[in-house]
Amino acid sequence: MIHRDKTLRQIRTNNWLLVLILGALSSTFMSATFTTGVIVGGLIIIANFSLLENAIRSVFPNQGPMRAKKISLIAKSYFRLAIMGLIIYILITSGWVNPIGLAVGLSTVVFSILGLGIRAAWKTSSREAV
Amino acid sequence: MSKRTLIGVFAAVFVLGAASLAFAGEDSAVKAAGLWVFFGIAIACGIGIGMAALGTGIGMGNAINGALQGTARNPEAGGKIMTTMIIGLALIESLCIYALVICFILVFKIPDLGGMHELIVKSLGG
Repeated sequence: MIHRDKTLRQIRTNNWLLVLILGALSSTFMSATFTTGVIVGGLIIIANFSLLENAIRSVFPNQGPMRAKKISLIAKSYFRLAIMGLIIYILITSGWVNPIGLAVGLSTVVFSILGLGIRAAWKTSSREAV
Repeated sequence: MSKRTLIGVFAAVFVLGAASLAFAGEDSAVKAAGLWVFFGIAIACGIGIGMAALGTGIGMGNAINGALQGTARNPEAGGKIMTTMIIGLALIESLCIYALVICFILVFKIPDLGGMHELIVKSLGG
């Protein structure tokens, strides 16, 4: 339980940190539309990750009975994906954001998880070396 | 679909495309070439997002299958298994999101009509 909370909390913190860092870097070196893409993409994917986590936790709790029906998980998933697709469609077609920046922003969670994995592997290997 | 049928379909599409360019006038050829570009983009997007959704579905199904089996066999490890599953699902889902973004870019950003028209006219020696 403690392990679970720690890992997910780390991922959530890393997500926000990465959005801030990538936003700051792109605002320094790239155009305004690229920066907007990075920030909006990051916010979309963070919201998506939180909703995914909440939906799964409500249907498959660690202890006790289910808090929600399985059909609600399916409905919520489709609704979430449809809304996200619509937002990305509007952002790209309107030209408010740079698509490459948006893709970078949408990669925030992936970068965060990869960073966590690399850090865990590094810790394990250094512990084995000792 | 067998390999021979697939090759036949591609050959027919290629021959039809080449014929439309060869037998048409310059303006018609330019329009035909532009249409073929749009045709290619539409086919690429349809197949691309379909394959991405297929891969994502298979991956998520496998992940959930493994997680539920693990939890059923060892309920005490349920918390850790669910955490890992959520992380895995987020990674898998991001692949489909990338495919969606690339499809949107292909459909709405790459076909710059003016530039494409000029390129096609130049390539036809106009």
